[in-house]
Amino acid sequence: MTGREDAGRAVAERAEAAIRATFADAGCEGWLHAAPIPASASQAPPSSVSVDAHRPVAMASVYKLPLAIALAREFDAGSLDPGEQVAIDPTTTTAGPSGVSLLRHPARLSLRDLAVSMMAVSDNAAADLLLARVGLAAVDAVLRDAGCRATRVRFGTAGMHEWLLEATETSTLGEALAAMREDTALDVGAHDPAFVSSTTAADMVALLTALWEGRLASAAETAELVSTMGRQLFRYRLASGFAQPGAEVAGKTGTIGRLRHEVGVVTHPGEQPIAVAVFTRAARSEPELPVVDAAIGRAARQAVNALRPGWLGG
Amino acid sequence: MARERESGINLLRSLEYFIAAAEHGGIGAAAEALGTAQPPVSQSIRRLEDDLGVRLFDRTPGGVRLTDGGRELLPRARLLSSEASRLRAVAREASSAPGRMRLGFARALPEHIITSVLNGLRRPGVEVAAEPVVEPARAIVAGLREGALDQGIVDGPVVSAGLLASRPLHADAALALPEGGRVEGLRDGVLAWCTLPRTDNPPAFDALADQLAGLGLEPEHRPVARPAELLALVAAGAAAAVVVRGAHLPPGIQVRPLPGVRLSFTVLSRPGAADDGAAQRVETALRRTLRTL
Repeated sequence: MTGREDAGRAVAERAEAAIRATFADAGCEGWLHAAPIPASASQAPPSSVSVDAHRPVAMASVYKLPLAIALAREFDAGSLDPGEQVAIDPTTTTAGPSGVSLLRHPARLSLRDLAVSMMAVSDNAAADLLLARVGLAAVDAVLRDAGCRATRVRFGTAGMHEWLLEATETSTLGEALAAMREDTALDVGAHDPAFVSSTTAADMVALLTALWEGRLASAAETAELVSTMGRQLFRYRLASGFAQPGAEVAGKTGTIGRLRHEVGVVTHPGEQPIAVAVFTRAARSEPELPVVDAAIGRAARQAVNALRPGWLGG
Repeated sequence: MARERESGINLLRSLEYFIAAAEHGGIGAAAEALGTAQPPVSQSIRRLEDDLGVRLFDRTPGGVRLTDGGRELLPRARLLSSEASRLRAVAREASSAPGRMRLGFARALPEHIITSVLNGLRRPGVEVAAEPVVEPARAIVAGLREGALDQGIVDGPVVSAGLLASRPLHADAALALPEGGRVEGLRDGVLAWCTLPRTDNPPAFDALADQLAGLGLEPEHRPVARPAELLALVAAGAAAAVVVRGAHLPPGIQVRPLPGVRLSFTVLSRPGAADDGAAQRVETALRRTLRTL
């Protein structure tokens, strides 16, 4: 047994060194945690792979995951109706590059469809409309139930944008992001987990594990959310690491300034699902850094492969 | 005769043995405490007694006891001994140059930036302000994290977790070409793009490669291990290199502008470095250097 554990530890340590090298090569800091679902003693070692997994990081749009779970619980409790039509007024919705944020004319969408847009394309406007209905306390309750003690959701995307405008003394989001690129101090503040919503890689793996195990919402709502996360449009981060046929990746990204994140679950056919959370902070401030996006996929693969029993375990 | 013997004795060491034997009440115990053998300690104390002409200890079967003479000399022995160790400590500090910051430069930095910054750091009354170290950027970052360096200047953006980083300082870039060489050579494959290895600092390399791509240039990359080889390959006609605009270049090399391409530099410092004004002085010296290019 001890021999097995030692061997597992050696595999994990080798993967962790490779993951650190991946982050260094991409020019970013990185925080990662990965563990099989469910965690079980009979699992072939190692039981987890971690790189600074308990360091707090600003979570950006990853906050939409606990928000989606909180919404699912409102549906379960009957306090919100998934079919309820929400009026969308483009003059007041939160800015963003996707979904309802792009609309230019008034529209109506159901709560369920807003949730799908929030999770599939990281729709900022949809997220804030939903947060207004669900409330931060319900999001907090989800995190508490999942045992995410290091996670604080302080505000939604609109709140984050207001905070940014104030911190950068600018009047538009574009100006704020440009100011962050020019000024190291602002840049650090906007990415500082002490000021904005924050979490850890280990916490997000705990949240995904609780969700996948059906501990946070009804079976029907859990299945709905898991399936929506599997249809997430962005495939350039976690999913880019798993080109193998049959591998399924369900995730949620987060992006702001230098931060690029994705947390999700990777499932190979006939194997245990593996939860993985990857958070990065790039040295460069350019808005598009494909090298970092790809490193997220690569680091996730290095972690997941260390945890797969695969045909070796058979 | 007596004078010659005096100069032959290691006074400081025998005083040390004397003090230890007095403190431990025995020669054997003193030798053990000093991590040495008993005979040399014993002999050294005897020679000291001969030399001073005073018996220091009464030898008894149970150990040694200070004589009246020994008791009188012990405080002076202690004084000399502690002054000797202070002298050594001061010498150690002087040799490690107190007040000199250990300043790391990424080896990809142009030589004239390094020399100009170092010159700019010299102040009246300070002979040498900094001990320069030139290493790959990743070694500078590691040196700062480990405390081997106080400040560092690296080219480009850098992963600086755990360090204090300045905002990036910029300089316009230019292309160093062989005499008679054409920029198009980078497109048609006649010229390679020569840099230090990407592993020195991947984000700095990537930032530059992306800017060149923005100009439609995706040259073949040729890494070299030593900075001097960069311009050597250019002068040889094999490669082009990106340099700081306004830099003095040796003969055999011509310069073409690279519109819109900027090089950046970051000043890094170790948090908690003793001299907290040093980072600011380095940044000022670098800023002045870049302004006068």
